[in-house]
Amino acid sequence: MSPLTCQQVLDEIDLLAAGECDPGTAAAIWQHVTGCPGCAAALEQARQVIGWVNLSVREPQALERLQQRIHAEARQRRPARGLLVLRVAGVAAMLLLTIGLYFVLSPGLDQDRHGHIAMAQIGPSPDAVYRVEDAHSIRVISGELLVRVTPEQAPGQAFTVHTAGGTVTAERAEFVVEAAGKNPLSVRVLSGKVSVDNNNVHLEARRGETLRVSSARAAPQRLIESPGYRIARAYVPVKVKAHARVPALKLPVEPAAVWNWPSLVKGPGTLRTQGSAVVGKGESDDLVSSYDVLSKQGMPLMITSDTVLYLARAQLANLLRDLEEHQLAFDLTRLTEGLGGHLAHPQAARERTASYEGRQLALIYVAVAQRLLHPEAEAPQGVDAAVLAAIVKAVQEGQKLEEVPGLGYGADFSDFRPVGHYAASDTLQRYFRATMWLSRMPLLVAGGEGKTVSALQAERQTIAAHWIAEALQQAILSDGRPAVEAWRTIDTVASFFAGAADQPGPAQYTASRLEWRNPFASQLMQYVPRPLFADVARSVRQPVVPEDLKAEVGPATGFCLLSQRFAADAFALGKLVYPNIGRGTNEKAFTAVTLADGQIVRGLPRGLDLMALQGNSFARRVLHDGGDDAYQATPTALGYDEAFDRLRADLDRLDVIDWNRDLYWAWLYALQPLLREPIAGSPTFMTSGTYQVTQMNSALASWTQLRGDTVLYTSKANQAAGQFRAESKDARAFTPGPQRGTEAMAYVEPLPELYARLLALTQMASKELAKMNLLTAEWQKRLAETTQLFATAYALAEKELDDEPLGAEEQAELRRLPERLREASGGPLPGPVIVTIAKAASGDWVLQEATGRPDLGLFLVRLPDGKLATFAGPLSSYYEFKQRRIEALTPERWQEMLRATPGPVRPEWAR
Amino acid sequence: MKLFTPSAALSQLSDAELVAQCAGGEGAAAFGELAARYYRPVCAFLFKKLGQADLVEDLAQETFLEAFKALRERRGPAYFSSWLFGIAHNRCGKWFRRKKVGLFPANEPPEVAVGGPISPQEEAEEQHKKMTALEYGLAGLPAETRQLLYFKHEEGLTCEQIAARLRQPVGTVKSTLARTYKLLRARLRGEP
Repeated sequence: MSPLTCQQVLDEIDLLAAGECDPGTAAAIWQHVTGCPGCAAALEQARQVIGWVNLSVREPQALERLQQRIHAEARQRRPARGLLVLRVAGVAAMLLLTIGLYFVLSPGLDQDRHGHIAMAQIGPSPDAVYRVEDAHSIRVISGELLVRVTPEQAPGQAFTVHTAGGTVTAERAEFVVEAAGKNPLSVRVLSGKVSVDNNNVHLEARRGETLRVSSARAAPQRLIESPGYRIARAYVPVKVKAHARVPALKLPVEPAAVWNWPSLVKGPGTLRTQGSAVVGKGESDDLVSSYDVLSKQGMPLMITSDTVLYLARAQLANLLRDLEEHQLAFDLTRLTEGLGGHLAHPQAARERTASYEGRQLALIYVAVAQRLLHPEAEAPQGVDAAVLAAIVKAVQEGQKLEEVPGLGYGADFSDFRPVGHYAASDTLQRYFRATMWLSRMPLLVAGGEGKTVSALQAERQTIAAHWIAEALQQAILSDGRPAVEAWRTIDTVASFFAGAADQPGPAQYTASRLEWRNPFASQLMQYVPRPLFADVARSVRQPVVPEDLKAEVGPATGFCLLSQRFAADAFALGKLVYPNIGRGTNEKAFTAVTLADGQIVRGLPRGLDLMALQGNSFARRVLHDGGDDAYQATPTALGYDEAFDRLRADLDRLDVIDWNRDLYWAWLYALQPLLREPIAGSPTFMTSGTYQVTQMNSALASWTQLRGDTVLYTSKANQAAGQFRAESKDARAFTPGPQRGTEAMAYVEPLPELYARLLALTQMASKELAKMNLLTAEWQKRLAETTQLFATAYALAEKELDDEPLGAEEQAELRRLPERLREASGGPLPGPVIVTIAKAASGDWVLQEATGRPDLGLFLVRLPDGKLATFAGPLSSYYEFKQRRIEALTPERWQEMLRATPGPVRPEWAR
Repeated sequence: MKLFTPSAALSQLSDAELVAQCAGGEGAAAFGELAARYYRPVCAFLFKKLGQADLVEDLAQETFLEAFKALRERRGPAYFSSWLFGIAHNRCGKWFRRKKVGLFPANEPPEVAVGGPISPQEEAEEQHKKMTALEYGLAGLPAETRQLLYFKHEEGLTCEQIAARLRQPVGTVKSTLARTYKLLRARLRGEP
């Protein structure tokens, strides 16, 4: 069909919006509106009119139906009050009634026909119509029900839900059944396993999956499963005992009662009174070398949780680095090359239509990444060489651009300087810059008043995003693979290590074109994953973005070929600062920042916020004592306490599967045992205040390491992470006590749950990455070895809590543990790290978290034979800084500070 | 005891008075009056939020039923209309979330209240104005055209089906519809 003129389009546009246009004309109109903002606006208006006419014509009948329902409702008995309201995340809140109660409370039901059902609870939506068939089944006519099947009362018995679309059966599960409407049956599984039978087809679904039956005669279909839950299914929790029976130690102890009382430079300090002490800097640069020194001194070794965490983290960081260097960098280079080739075009268009300009922008966007990855690469045909060169130069040299050509907003590319392990090789440096470009420079959705770019610019960028999304589906790479396959590998690895995307990407943009009736922007907000790259009507080139939905999209929301990742910690910390939190009065609080108008606000979060949110009362107390929670509500913001409580409740609702959706979340989950009070019967040193500080320190240091490792994918702020080694200094803080056969002794910090979680996490990583064909034989071996070592730590920690003696062989195994973990870590051990976690809204201040040289901890342990011995082991060190942005610490500066005497200052609570 | 209050009397009552009656024996009638007053504004509001007319009716019904249940339990609001729009607003939120949950929970941040600069009520009023303009447009149409719209939108018939029913050529039906929509569009832009 030949191109249409504006007049022809305007003649047909109303019929198109009403769904009455023939396909050929529809395609031609779509092609036209792609490049014609005037006609695109007219189409949007036509859609509105049709919608309103629809509502208006149907109003009398709809109102009638409503009146009938109100009267029906009024005839029903008034519902009982005070029922447990169950909030299932995101599911429309529904009342939860047991079926037993149901007879009493729910009207319209034949009450005398049925017996008591104890094996299920149901929560009907207000409009649900259903009836109880017998003791083990219900029939849903219409509406939505939350069903929770708990078979304790009727073991081996399945519960059945009959609907017009099929039969749902479950033995232990929680699911939402929706019946009637366009899809006669839809089952969303919240936990457990559910099966659906319809027309002789039997299909099972597990948590995170949805089964849908589109008509009474159709077979059930499984909708896309959640990638998060898919991964989490590989997580098998290890059961942990919840008791301990180590006899308490009476404090303070007399040094003479201890086998190997050390001579402490600064006196016995808390070792005598609290059973543990931090005695200053260790003797080496990393945690593992500390053990060599301690062994030589004949000290009994404490395998600290810090050591285990540090080495486990090092392994994951090295694994990620290997994948990036040997797989992802290669994939990304081929991918950008392929996309560039696909988008290239030999000659300039005669008319500069919106579609043409969008394509030009898409080409530049991809070509910049291609050039960053492969500086010698030829620019794709049709790209503006001067613009390309200017952007690439600015990125490579870390310059600031007031306005990035084509994007209409500025960027400070100093953030694009490779940091951490990304500085280690040319390939990694290139990969880092290109990934930064593709994940931090969105093609924006919304423009106009109050937004970063003009409406026209946003429109061009959205068209460009669609060109890229389309190219991704169609392009074939030089190695013969479809482009989308390479993209998926990169995305999957990033999702696995750092979390799900938090910017819309090709999937959302492709989905938004599937049905023009589905407003584009609402798709973006919902992030509903559609079957990726399903057959799309190729002629549709521009989505309809209703203005009102555009307004709801944030100013920085836009297409990223590779996205930053959504992380619980970044999200939570973001909710605990201005403008989400109201005003304070104490400008001396760590978190306080004074705005230009004199207002004191919570400009920065603290690492402690995160720990307090996970239930640690010590962290909460420190925040309180420092005035970091003294912020009151204002009309537009919550007070700190309220926001904290809400977030806390939200985090509390997450369960083991939620927490193990990827390695990033799983790491936060693994740290949780450090934040709890020790169980009763734990060794005495674990119950002291000193130990509490040590624990907090370990958790925060490990979190800082995590942030440093995943800096490319997660942090939204400026980041800087250093990888270097501080120089060794002989700052001996103690002299070991007498060696009465104690030199072979070892003890693992008795935190079985921590090791169990690390064990489960490593197994999950091993299983999932192997499934994705991303593990070399070498890495499979390393992960298997680590799993084994965590199992050892876990088993021996449980034994210690049971007050059983460790045999000589077991102690020897423990002494070898740090070295074996180091060997399995598959690369260099990380040195101190400094990471920028947040920027204050005013832009003046940043929050930086850092780790430094290890400390040395001494622990007094009462052995099962009643003897008392001092064990020594390294501890991570943690620092937190509030810095002026222009004075933010660089890795080099941090290194200098660590070398200097007296060295950087620890947070007050940790001193 | 009066079992039934004629709606003519109810229509004289203020929102607050009707709200007060909802918990009583004649609650359904009182609420029916409130529903009649607010059905269209709520639909207009929901349509603006969702952009899909076929969803609006379902959510509007849920909104009113939820409001009615709350009023019967005497969980009454100080200002009915803003409270009602609040419910509608939440229903929208739930709908958006419901689509998301289970399928892609990794991206769902915990729910934290965020206040928008424009109140749902203001938005609704603006929508209501537009809808009223359209209403005038519809009222001015010839009866045959209105019937055409009824077939298309209430009964959900296609142009072919309408043509068969009215024994008219499809082309005629299509062109009448196109002309009518265009006219209404002009009306909405404020053109005569």
